[in-house]
Amino acid sequence: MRYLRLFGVFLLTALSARMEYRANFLAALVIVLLESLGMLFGLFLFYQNGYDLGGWRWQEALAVMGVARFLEGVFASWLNPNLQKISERVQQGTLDYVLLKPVDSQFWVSVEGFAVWGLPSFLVAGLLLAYAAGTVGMNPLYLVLALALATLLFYALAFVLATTTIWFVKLYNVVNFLGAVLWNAQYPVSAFDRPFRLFLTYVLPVSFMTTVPAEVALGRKGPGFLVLLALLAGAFLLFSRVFWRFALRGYGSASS
Amino acid sequence: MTRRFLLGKFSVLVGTFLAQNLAYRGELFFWVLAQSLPLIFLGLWVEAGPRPGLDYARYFFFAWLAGLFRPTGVADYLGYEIRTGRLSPLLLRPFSPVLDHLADQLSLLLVYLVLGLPVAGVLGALFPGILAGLEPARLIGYAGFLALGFAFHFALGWLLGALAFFLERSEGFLEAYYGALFFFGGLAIPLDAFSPGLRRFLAWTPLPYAVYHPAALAAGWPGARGPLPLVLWTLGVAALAGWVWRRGLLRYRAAGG
Repeated sequence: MRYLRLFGVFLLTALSARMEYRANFLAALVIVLLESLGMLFGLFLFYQNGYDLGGWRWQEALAVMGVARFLEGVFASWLNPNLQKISERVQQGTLDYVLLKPVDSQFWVSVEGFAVWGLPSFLVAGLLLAYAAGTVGMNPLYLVLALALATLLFYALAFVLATTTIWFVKLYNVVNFLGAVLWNAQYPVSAFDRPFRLFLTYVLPVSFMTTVPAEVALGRKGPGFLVLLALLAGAFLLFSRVFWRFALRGYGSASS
Repeated sequence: MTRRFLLGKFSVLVGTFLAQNLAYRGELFFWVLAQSLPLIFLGLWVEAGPRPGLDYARYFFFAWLAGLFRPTGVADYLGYEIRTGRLSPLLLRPFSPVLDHLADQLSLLLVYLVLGLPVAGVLGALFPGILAGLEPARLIGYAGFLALGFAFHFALGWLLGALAFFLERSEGFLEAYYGALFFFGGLAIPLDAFSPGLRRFLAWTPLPYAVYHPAALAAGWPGARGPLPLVLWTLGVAALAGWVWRRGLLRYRAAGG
């Protein structure tokens, strides 16, 4: 309960601080729209030329892209600001202050900042998912559950990568890497050649972040896969926790 | 810039930045990984594209390598130095701070190429014979393209960074440009999949010359164009950057001035 209240306080202060830069927000909106157009165009090329994208219909493939854009919104509005901040704290030694607080440190560094830059991505995601739902039909309950689980999985993966900042100090490129991962998550995994498909499933669990959630919502896969997603997200969350604890043991703080 | 400078001070600069960048090699590896993710699109094209798989593997290998020859961060760092006033002490030295960034980017390139070896190894293992039977003449042309692409992106970074003398922020432009490069430059989609009209339009922009044309040339695909438009773009952007930079320096009063 205390954590929920803290979460609300963080959210409000961050949003009121960010809304000052309206011009920047407009620029972000335009960029996201352009990017989305580019992605749609890239997908359209395959369908226009009649290439087979792993047996997915156009509308179904759009649902995968919608999930990917949703995660992009999660990334821009929630993960990115916090990940940047963690590395800043390690560089400046201010992580010490967080560790001293009587609040769980992983919780604190995970929800400290929020940005409004993700809103345009959420908007595009909503449009894509609504279109897919309107044309080929989706189970709204499964969609919401799948999106929530995909978000948790993505968070855990991002947090594990961000934890490496304790050793690497700089994090700019880790963030860059996560952004690039999302760009590759916008197509159904079954459209890829076998070694790539295995990589996207077992090395980077991208397949479970976009393709599987879309499949469950579309009814291509049964709700049992939601359980699988939940188990996977839970395992990754647990690992991110263990890894964070482990990394903190190696953290020498600013002065030592 | 005399020859003595180039051999002496400049190589010291490159060496210094190399040491500095090597200190962050773990983090830079993530950069190389991020730059390697467009290779995933290779899996899409091998599966769904009309050409044989090895053709695409070759193309994507050379496109990936060309992507590494793209200086990034120049605009960010330069803009940061200008806004925070860190530029001031750098201006006291008898050579331009822009050369720092050139040295930094050259040293980064060396680090990227070494860190990229595992990625190249994986590609080679997935597609045996990826580098067999290449024509040396084409590779020389490819190398020329890479040098030109490096020059263009450095000049672009210089220009956008120098704009910080006049503007608060210009990062949005770069982000949009990189997005365009991803889709219309050939990193993820070989441009010959586009309609002829779109390709004619793109031929006027710098986009297809840093990645698509060099990669198509090296991979032996037909239809690779000469780099003349990019030469003109590079000269134009560099001239503009020099002009903005000099005007900016006149205006610059350091932080607090």
